[in-house]
Amino acid sequence: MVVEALIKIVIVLLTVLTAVSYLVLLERWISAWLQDRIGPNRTGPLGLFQPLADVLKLLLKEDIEPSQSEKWIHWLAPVISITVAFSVLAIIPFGSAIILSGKSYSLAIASNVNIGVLYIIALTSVGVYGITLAGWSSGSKYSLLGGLRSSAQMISYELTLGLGLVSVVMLCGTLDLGGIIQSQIAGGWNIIRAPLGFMLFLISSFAETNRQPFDLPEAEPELVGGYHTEYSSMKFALFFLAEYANMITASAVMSVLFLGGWHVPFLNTLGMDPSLLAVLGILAFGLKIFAFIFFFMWVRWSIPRFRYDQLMNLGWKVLLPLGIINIVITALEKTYLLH
Amino acid sequence: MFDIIFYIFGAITVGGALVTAFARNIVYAAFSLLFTFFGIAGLYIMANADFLAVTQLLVYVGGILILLIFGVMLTSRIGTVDIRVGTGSRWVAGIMALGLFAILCAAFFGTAATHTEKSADGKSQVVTSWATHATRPWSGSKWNQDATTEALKPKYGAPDEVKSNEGSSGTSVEIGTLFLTDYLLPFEVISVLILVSLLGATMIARKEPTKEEEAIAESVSV
Amino acid sequence: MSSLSNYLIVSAILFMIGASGVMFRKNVIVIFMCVELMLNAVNLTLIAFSQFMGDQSGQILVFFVMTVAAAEAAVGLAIVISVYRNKETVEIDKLNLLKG
Repeated sequence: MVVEALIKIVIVLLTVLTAVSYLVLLERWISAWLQDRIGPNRTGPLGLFQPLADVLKLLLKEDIEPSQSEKWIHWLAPVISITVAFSVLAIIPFGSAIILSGKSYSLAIASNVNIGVLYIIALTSVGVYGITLAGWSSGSKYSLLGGLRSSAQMISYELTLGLGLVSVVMLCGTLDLGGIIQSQIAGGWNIIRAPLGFMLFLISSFAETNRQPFDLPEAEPELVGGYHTEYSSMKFALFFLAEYANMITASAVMSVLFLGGWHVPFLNTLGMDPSLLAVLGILAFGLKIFAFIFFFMWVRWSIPRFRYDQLMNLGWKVLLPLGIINIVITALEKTYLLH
Repeated sequence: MFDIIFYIFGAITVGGALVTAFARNIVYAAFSLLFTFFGIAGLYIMANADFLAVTQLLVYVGGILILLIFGVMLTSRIGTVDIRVGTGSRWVAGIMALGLFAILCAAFFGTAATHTEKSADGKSQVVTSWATHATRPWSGSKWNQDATTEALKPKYGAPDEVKSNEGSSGTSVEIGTLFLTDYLLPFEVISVLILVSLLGATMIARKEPTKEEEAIAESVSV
Repeated sequence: MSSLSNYLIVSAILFMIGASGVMFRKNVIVIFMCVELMLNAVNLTLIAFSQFMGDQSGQILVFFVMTVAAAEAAVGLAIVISVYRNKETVEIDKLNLLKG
């Protein structure tokens, strides 16, 4: 049992860490493509060794400690960020259970967490601390402003995130991610059953991951680098890693909640081998995650940053009422349409 | 195993609380409160209150502590030294705190706890036990659960009853049912309280804008 | 020792620390934190007894305590901020206007 969990943890960590380093490269390629440039292509064939070079550079850089900083918290903040980003992955079901030599292995590190959805919201709310404390402990005004902005922004959009989730929970009648996927297999994907909830969740995911157009905590032109202005070397790399890991987890969560996770419609009617089906399911899940990540990057290089008051207005005056309306709509839908 | 994990969480909780209450640097006070809340969430999980543990993280860590940190950020500079009150009242306060602890312990361990349970023939009966010598199975101890249930089987004669408490179904269903049946009125009242406090907080903290500021705000907003 | 008494001891210690913090400290925000500690100690007791009795009503009560704590933190901090705006301090022994 413990060994099984450990093996799963190692596999997931290695996959995600590799994915993260190549996502950085992918983002640079996509940005180059959107801006009609060539992008990194010098290091190795097609520039494929670029992530290695980046990591090496970051490792060898001097780790600068600002004289006005709170040493401990300054050190701990990136660790919190990265821990939270990876912790969500613990409950994501990456595929349907695989049956090997008569024994069933579930493809989530911790399967059947009956409060899975709440766990995700709780961890998201802990994620605020990484950035807020980073901004605060650096002892620099740019960092502090970035930290303040991030906590206000993330708290505001957490509400919308939660309201978007409520519609999913109402439709599926469970807080367990595996159960949510099963319910979608039976009754259709949630993106069809709760399109407004999906929109709300998607928009607030952008805010929660601090990605453009909501990257105000680090807004370069105004705040130099925001909360990570004073970070360098590996500590900066951890923040960088956390941003991309957050993107992966957000994409994975959205795939599970709204796109049916590893489910591919009509595939089970073809009468294929169950193990082949399971592998195809994992691939489909990966593809869905990739689609979301591509969307994240596409938006980043296409849409300008929001102004701070616009961000708050959008969150509190538009998205929050929409979220509450969405709950009513979902309730009506569940009562009259789905019966 | 259960004991070790309990002591780890307990130590995190108490240690964090000590730093919170006595650290001179308010930054550390706020930060160690985070650890206390985490430790308490861990203790909740060990008492089978998984739903509440997550709610604890959500409400305290995600809400209240963020608010507190906001307060710290807005009202003090980094490295503010918080000097304690004079020695005279310090002694009094210390003695009062210790006295409180003694009274609490006396209350906890001097009071008999009663609980209803079904005996073998299906009848409910009230059982009295002392907290110090509690014989009821502690189903929170997932680690030595089997040992406890085994040891207590003869005494209870109703192993099904004991087992019903330890399944993986969690507490969310029961809590939800209770909220919408027995505790519906308090639930509604508390939501009104939340609404009122939300409005109140906004009203109190709002800065009255001057005429010029209003004009600027109007010209800026699109 | 049973698990219940373990929980009760932790809770009593937590309550003591919270109470002494309220008495020792001057900064209003730290006092707030210590009040939260005391509330948490009470919650811990409720959870331990709810588990001990096998009755979920204790957990419901914890919910209500959490809600009230959240409301209290929101209103309290609003007051602290507005006091700070007027007096530029949050030390309680400097907020003695009523003393004359």
